[in-house]
Amino acid sequence: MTLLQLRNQTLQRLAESTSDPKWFTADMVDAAINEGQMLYVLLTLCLEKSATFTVTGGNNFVQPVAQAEDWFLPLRVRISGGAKVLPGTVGDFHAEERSWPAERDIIRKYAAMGCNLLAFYPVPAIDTAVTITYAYSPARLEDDADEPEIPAEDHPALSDYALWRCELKAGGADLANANSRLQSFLELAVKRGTQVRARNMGQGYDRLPSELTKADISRIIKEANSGPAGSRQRRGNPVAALQ
Amino acid sequence: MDLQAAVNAEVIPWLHSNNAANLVWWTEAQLYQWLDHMAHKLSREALLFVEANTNVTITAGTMVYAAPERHIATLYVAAGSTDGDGPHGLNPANIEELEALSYTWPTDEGDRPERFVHDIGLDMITFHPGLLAGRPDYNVTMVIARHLEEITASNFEVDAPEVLRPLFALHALAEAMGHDGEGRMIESERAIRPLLGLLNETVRGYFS
Repeated sequence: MTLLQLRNQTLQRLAESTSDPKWFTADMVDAAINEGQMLYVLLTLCLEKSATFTVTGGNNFVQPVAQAEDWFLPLRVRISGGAKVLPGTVGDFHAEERSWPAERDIIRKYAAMGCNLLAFYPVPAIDTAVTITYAYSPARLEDDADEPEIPAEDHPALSDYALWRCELKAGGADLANANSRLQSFLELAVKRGTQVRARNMGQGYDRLPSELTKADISRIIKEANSGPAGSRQRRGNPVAALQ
Repeated sequence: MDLQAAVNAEVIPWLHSNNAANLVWWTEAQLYQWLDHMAHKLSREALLFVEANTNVTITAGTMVYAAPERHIATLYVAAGSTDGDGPHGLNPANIEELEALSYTWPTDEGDRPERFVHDIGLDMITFHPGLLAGRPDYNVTMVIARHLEEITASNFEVDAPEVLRPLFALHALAEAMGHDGEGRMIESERAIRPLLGLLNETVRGYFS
């Protein structure tokens, strides 16, 4: 599905005109669709790619975001020739060899710390290329013809999420009705995440998606529905609010 | 990650405004304050922002140094001399261990630092033993988890994966909708919080 199709589907479900929406604008729906795609990838790690990263000679530390703007999580690291670089922690490196930062040899292990730091041990004295398979952040959908990068069969989930996200502005009964759409989105993410997890285990990846089957989705929706029946929510004049 | 774009596209329209200047029941400063709260939360609970800091240099006669700015936790420390010794890893220690090792530990001196301890609060780091006079300086690499600089309307770029952007936007939106005042939308806030809880748990599982 394209961004245009997702947007129009969501606007129709919100009882808005697709050509001249008033209360929920096209920009709001697009922002919600993009947010839904980001969350889907965060929960399932369903998008992955391989790229070459450079480890500077004599320097154990690499900031991968500087070399790949869409960097998210490392899944597997290989050196040239295909040999796998094993995951570990800097504590492991220290236990193995106290002067590990000074060792110069073919890379054997790596440690991922935070969202933007990798440590390699040992490292050669010259610049070295490593191939890293990593989960990545999808590109934002900007043009009407753009298509989400998540699997095509999961695209309707983005409309479910966008519907719920937009109804946060309305609150009340509209939001209560839309909470079931959030449940649909999360349940599809659980299914996709379970599939990706099984596949990643078979691939021998170093990182797996969160075990979403252990999350109580029904409790999340129950808590989402626990707000007061009425509120001081003011719907107001939608056109005036945007001027 | 551009948090200004996140505020403008994913928060402000939900607060019945088309831009920050037209917000009625909230201020732009409040929105950025809530984004900053989420950055602090992720820093603290998920150890999201880790750097290999090289600002500290150990010199002869000084054992105690200021930890890098916005330090949360030290994950690893290595030191290498300016004349080519090392670098080698320093062992983490506590005061009990140092006192068992040497009751004169605050004034011990040696050829090279062997261990570190966060004494006198978490903002200071002590290297033991201190360097003997005449020994070359030791450059220290500290791998630390840290906070970011305060997120404001003029400092809104964050070095973090784009997939984490919804956490910031949803947190700011939930805080705004739960904020006491005429614009309060309790059911909307309560609808967001459980999802945010799931997302925070997921991020903690990936990074900490």
